Amino acid sequence: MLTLLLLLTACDRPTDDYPVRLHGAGTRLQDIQAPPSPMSGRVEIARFRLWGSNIGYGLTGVFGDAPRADGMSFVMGAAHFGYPAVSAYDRTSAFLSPGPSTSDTCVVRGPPKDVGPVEYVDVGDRVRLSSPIATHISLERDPPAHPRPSGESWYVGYGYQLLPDVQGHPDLPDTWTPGSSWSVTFPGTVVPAESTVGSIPYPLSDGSIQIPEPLSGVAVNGATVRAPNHGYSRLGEWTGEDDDVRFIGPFAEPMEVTWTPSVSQGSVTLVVRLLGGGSEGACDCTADCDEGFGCEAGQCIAQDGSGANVLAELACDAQDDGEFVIAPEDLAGVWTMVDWDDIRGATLSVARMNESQAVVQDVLTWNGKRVGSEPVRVRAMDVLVTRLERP
Amino acid sequence: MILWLLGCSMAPYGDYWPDRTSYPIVRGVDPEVVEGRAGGQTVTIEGRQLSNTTTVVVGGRNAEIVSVDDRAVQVRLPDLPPGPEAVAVSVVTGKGASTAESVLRVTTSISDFVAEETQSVSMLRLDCPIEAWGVYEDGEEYPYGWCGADMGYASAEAWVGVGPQPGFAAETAGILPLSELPALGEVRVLGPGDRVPPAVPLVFSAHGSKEAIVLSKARNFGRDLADLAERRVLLEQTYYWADAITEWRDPVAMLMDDEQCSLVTLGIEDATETSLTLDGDASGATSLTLGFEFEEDYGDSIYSDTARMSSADILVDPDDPRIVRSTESTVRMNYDQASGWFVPPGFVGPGDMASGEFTVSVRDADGKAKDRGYVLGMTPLDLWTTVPDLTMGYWPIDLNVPLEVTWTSAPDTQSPTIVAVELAVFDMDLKNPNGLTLVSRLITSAEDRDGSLVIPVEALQRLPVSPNRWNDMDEATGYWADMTIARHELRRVRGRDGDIVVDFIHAVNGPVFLE
Repeated sequence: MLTLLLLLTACDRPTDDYPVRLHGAGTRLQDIQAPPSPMSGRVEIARFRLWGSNIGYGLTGVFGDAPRADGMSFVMGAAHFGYPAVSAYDRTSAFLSPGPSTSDTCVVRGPPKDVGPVEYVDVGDRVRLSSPIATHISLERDPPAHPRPSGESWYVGYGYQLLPDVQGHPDLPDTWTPGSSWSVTFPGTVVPAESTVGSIPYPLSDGSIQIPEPLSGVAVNGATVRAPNHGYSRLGEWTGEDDDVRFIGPFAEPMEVTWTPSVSQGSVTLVVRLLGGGSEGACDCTADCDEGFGCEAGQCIAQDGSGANVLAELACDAQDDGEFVIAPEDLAGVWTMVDWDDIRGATLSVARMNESQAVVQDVLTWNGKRVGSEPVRVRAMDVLVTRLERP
Repeated sequence: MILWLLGCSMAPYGDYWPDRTSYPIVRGVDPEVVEGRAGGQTVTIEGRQLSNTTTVVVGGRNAEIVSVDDRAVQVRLPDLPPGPEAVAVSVVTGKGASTAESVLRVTTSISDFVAEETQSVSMLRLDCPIEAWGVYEDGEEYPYGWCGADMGYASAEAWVGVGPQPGFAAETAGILPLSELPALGEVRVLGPGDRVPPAVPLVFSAHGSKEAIVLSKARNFGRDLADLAERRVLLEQTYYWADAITEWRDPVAMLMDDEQCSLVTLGIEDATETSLTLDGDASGATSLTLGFEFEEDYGDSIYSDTARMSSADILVDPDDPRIVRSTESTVRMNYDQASGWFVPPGFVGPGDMASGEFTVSVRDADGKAKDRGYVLGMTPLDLWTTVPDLTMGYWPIDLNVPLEVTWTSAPDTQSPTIVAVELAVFDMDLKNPNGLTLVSRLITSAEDRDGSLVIPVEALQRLPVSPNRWNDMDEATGYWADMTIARHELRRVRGRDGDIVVDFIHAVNGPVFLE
């Protein structure tokens, strides 16, 4: 018996804190990050400005990088609901996951992950983001109607479409209204008997989200971040040459990011992404490929890495005071998970994010059961993406 | 009591709403039949225990609730994608939910024709002007490239799902799909904030890599060359720079090998119905494209351009490699495992959609062909008599005067033939990741045999003025409008496992000034 007791004691795992220090504060994860809460879905909208060379829509995770879209500004929304409630909805984003919840700290993460295993939930034809003036964004359901009588209704998602960045247009509703509050609603639904997805039968009528203030005056190491000119000077004169907007990242020396601080003094999220390779289409020579791609071994290879192939990322939460420095040692954890040779490019995203929660009714499962719902994470972000030199 | 039991039996929600006696009961709808899938009709759902109705779903889409009491719920119907005529209506109250299957019939002018559709084929020919005319700020009018020398394109595609898919053939090309049209003769104007018509809910079914759908008819090179000659006349009459054309090479055969790689372009010296005599050696070629080439001389520079019209699979005469033969004009759609669609492996031209009788055949997983029947091909809109003439690159439309659209009707084939018209306005200044930014669009339709339709002023005036301007960088700026006139000709081949429905679409699209 004594031997057995000793053996059991030997098997006990040490419970002391590990000597791991994340940059900025704390020695334990909970020092910089509250535990996530289980949630029943996620509604997100983002305004992106792609202000760096060779950046495409690959960063959305839904579209490809060809043709390149640098210089473009666009809006995208996505919503997804599932049961049982999972904490991934709280912490992860379809577009850009927030940094730690403690200001002026950073965390290293692996490739962005999906929310994990959940059963899909239908909440009606669309998720609508509106103000008293207009419906600004309507995230349409995919599929638009459950095909019948196939019984193939196993997936439901909302949005994931590229939208123009509309502000102050005389005839079109704004798709982005910085600083305003939008309501978040859906109509609720029940699905056909043969469908295999759940549903929320009742409407959501009182969700809301504050659209962030716009980011402005963003500079890296003192150089202003701006849209590439693509053969035209800023005066509109043809120069015949693309100019290259990219900055030296925090891989050998500290990188200082500055911006015009917000009066609300919230926080700013900074994310350095290390991108792996990616190909889009076959080719015989580089002329067969879109700009920003080169022909290698019969494939059009993204010269600066694929926006959809994130090998690892450093995410920081900075006080919105106009300045943050990312040091090489902040990235130390990256090199334990990424092979240097796999890195084809890097980007820096600077974002203002607002979050809220919407309380939804219980889920009616495909077989008529009731599953209790947790709140839905609602998130709006204004994201500026620029290009960093390959490490 | 029977109704109550029926309501319960159709509502497997006992865990969510335990008190089944409180469930809503849907007895029927009034009217039981509505026309058009574009939505907007008002329908009353009749029954009991309907108080506190929060959600109504019709045909899988959310209906807008207008009024509610215990025995009736009035709703405005949603847009419905193509699908079966009979749709379900579901009602959710605070105390339960009920679904009444097939309780409402949503008919269209084609719904009887497509009721048994299980295989959907779309054959599209779109013609558009070589150039678009715009106006500079100083009032000068000038043309720039629009569709180029090809003056349009053609495409073909097919979808074979897992069961009935009524109406899909008339949707998948995306050119004025019939389900989004209001009832014949009515006008629908979609403005900012209006709902986007729902996309086609395709039901995936995997197929073998050798499976294909083939439309073929007897080869007639004489007709192909006549189509080509007509296209050249159209180009010469509408191209602003036609006087600068110094050299024609017309007609030509662009030869390709079995991997669809270009070999050589040769002139055509002679033609019979099934053979061409070329001015060079065609050895190695397995297919060709018929077209013409021309050169424009502007003094300091010479431009060359090519227009393509139709295609042919060929055999080279073993005794004389200048002679190529083809017995069939074929549009073959092979199953594409990546997309799930049946699509042509190579070029399809407007000439490949030409009139005539097509044999429709399907190839099974072993590649074995089986003829399923015959359909009549397309009757193209007469570009010379259709008004507005959208091949010109401009057409002024006065928004204060009813707009009459006229065309020459196709011969009556006893199958649905509908002419749909669209006016669309785009903001050319707004950067949009999807391309052009749609501001507003107007859609309407008529039976083809009517030969005309009129768009009333009240509808036209809901569109913004569109002056179609160039900026000083020669780029389109501000609001631009274009118009599309499309003739849908539906055909079908009947079968025990359902019908193959083919929608031949000839569309003409071009810029218009809305003044």
